[in-house]
Amino acid sequence: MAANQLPQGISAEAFAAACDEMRGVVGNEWLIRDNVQHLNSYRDTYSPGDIDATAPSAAVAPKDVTEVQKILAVARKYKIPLWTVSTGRNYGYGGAAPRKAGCVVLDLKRMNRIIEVNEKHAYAVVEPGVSYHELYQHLKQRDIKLWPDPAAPAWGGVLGNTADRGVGYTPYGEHFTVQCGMQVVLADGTVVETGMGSTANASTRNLYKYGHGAWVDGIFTQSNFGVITQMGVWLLPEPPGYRPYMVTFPEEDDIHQITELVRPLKISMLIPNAATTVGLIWEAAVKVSKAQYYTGSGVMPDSARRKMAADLDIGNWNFYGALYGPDPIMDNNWEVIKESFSQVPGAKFYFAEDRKGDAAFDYRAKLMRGIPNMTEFGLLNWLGPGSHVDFSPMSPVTGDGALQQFHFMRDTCHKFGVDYIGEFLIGWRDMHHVLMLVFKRDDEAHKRVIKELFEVLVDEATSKGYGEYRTHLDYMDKISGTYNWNNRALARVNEAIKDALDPDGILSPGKSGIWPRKDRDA
Amino acid sequence: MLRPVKSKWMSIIAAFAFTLGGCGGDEPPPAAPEPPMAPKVTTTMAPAAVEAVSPAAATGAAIDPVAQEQGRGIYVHYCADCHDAGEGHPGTMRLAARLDAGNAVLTTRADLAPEYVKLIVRNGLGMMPAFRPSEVTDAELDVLAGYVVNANDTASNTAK
Repeated sequence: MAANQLPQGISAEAFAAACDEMRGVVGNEWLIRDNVQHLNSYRDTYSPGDIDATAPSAAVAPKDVTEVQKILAVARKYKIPLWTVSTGRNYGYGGAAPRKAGCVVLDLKRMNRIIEVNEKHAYAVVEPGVSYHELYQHLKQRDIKLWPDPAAPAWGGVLGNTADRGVGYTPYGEHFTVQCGMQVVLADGTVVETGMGSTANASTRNLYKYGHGAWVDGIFTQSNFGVITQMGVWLLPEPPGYRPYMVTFPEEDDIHQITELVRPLKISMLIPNAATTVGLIWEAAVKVSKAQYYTGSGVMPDSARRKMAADLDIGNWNFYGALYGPDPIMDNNWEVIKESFSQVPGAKFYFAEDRKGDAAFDYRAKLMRGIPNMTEFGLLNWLGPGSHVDFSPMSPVTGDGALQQFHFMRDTCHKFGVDYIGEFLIGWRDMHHVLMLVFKRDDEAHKRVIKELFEVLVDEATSKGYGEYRTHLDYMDKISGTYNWNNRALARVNEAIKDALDPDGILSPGKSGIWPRKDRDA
Repeated sequence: MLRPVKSKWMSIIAAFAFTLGGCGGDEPPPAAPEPPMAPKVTTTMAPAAVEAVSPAAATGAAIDPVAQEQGRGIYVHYCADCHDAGEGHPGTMRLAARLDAGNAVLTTRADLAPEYVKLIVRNGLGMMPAFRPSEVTDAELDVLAGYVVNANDTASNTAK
């Protein structure tokens, strides 16, 4: 259990004193330590690993920037490591738990104000605690014709997902690309506005990203150099028309031709949104479970896969995209898209009217038009009451790249008796290849298999020249270690910034493999 | 009326009971304070704020329609996307597999006790993760549990 956990190197007396001071800042209710049930709600119970290794000692939930500053002052005084989360729902990557046991979770969920929605310029400014669900409801209740771009689960945070460089599915699906304006509290308590927000009247704070001189917003993402307390995000004006579509492809190796066909359509923006090429099981698992088609051990056999595909009228790959705009534009774009994909033997085309009552199509159609939902979470039903950890290497938008990644990831999974559950999220010039490793949450042996498999996948990807874009707490050191060109030059830049901005090492030690000096020396 | 705790849950509740802390949590989150460090604010709101919390539903009194409506709001905010009826709701899908289709929709179940609902929200169960007090306070959780348990007895049992 997490009771009586202490930050590393901090005495019980000093920690008690620090907690008392933090209670004085946030009030008794919002320093969570003695209530074991409350404290356990911060643990990463989704992890395949040892959750004691990421158990927090306490959590503190400030309501505003002033309280954040005061908490940082206490942390500096006592050298208490904090771990910042926004909505804390980053499951598969660690949830609300810290990288290192004993950190105090700096829980920003209570900072949940939507500071501004600007209809004229189509943006919102949010605090860290605002979820996609909350932003969507805010816009809907006011009949504001702007779309957010949700991550697949509605409970994800707008700011946190962007700061972790997550993706969505509308034309604004590359979240950090549509970020503009940031307020950050540094470890020493200084509040910084980035870019145009630092000018006297800041009239373009959320319209022009870069300001003058060095542009620093990027260094506060997937990092531990500050606490982001506000962020501007551009919102997509509702287009005059919207038509989601799906194209199914029968064979596994079709991924080569699909990807070659997608590249020019994406680069030219004929497909404007963050489209997806979804593998068979990913597509099926929001509706059916493995046991309905196969009750044996190990990987689902091909015969069962084909039966499932036929029953659900889906392919080994299922491409999702959407048309946006006035009818003539959508009609014209569809001609080009359909002609392209028709080159793949067996390609079948579907619009919403063809997939009525199909939960998989429905949730994709919602996501591509900015309606948050939780349907994709149903994948965790695949094996029973499940959990997941994601392996996500970047791929070029090439048939060779996609096929090579698919083959080695599928074959490696199969060696471990694990089904390939994957999709390619297609950006402008890249693909996030997300492999969802679903496991039984109550099966320790299965968790060990998943952990071993994950290590092998990272090593194989590295040997083939692929790097991951984001990872779970347990693999941050390993993944950051693969970004090691020129004697860790990039890592050394990060460490220099860390030491300069946070010399006491109080902010999220170990995030993305960035450790404060005292931890590097230890 | 609040139903008695069904015997099949007693052992589960007993097993979790050691995790029930005595810490308070009687206040809903304060509504939208002005930020001292954000001079560029133009509008404010607190999307998750619950205005007031009545204990009636949690103390076994007659169903309080005001508390039910507050509970319904919390349910819609945090629970409905997974637990509403119909396809595409992962919690309903899981419960249909674990129990049966007739017991898969939380708001129509007749076998839930408030303490059990509260334990599951705070601890998680199966594929469902725990919810933190910064998301749902103890006071809000009382009202939520009351709503879920009594939803089937009230006119306001649709979560749309």
